[in-house]
Amino acid sequence: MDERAQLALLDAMVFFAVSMVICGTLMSYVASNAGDPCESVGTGADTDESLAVFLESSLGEGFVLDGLNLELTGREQFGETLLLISAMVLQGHPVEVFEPVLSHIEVVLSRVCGPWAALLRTSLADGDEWVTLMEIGQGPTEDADTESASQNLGMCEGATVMVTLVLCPALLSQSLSV
Amino acid sequence: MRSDQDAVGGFFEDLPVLAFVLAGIMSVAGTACWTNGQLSETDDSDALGLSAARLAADVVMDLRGDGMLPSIEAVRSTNLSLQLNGLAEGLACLVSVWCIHPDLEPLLVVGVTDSDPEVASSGRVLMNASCVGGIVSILEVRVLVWEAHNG
Repeated sequence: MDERAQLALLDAMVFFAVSMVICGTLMSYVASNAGDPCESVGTGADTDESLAVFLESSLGEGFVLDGLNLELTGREQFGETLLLISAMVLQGHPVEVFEPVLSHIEVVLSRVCGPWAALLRTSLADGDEWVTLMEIGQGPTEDADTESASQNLGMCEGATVMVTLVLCPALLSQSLSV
Repeated sequence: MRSDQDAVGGFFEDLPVLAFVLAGIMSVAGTACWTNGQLSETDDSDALGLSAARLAADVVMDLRGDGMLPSIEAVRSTNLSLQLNGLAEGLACLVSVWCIHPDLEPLLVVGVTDSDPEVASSGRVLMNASCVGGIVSILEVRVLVWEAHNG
């Protein structure tokens, strides 16, 4: 093969390499447009709206907590119930006493937020910091991409009580992580 | 005979050059076609998603009516034909309203369906409604929209 033929072959190889780069660029552009399925929690229903609808709905089931001399008729809103439980926890009652009500809340939350895993956190304002009073549901793993919404429940012993709903893909919640 | 001194190479010497050039052109052309198809599919899917979200919002607005909390019975008897007729030409849809709390039950299922869905998009909106006994329930409006293929 003479020198000019070798130069032509070299040019062709450069052309092929450039075309490969163009192909790679086009494919990466499509991949970036398609997006990662886990990139956004993509709850369908907005997280703020889910929390607002949940807090405004009624318990739907009556509970009698004998140890506390407390009776819930089922017509109380979830927001009111969470505020009541928060106040009683602040008074020194252990969270475990409210287990039947909290389990019911978790079941309803799973219906509202499914198929995403939900964590409902009730916090109390302590100066500039927030102290967690109780958590209901499964927390996400550390590296999970989550979506959250918060709402003010009201005042409890002079401090603001805030409820936060955290949503993440169900497979990335702590209980189901592999 | 006199040898061709100006030619780049003989026929067999040019074959690898031709192969590299053809492979490069075909790769770029093939990838361009595939990219075009993928982007077109994404655009269609985005448009369907937008239609589904808009239809779900319209249905919820209609169910809420004058802003008061609607009753379960009112939701059951709602006529959604106006919202379904307002759907863009060439689209089919299925709208279902479910009570998910305190009881799990379907309340309303309506749709404009003349073909099976292939590429479809869905929307979901939650709302409150009043039940018997002063209980506030949670309703879920589910919308599925797809391109109708007649025939």
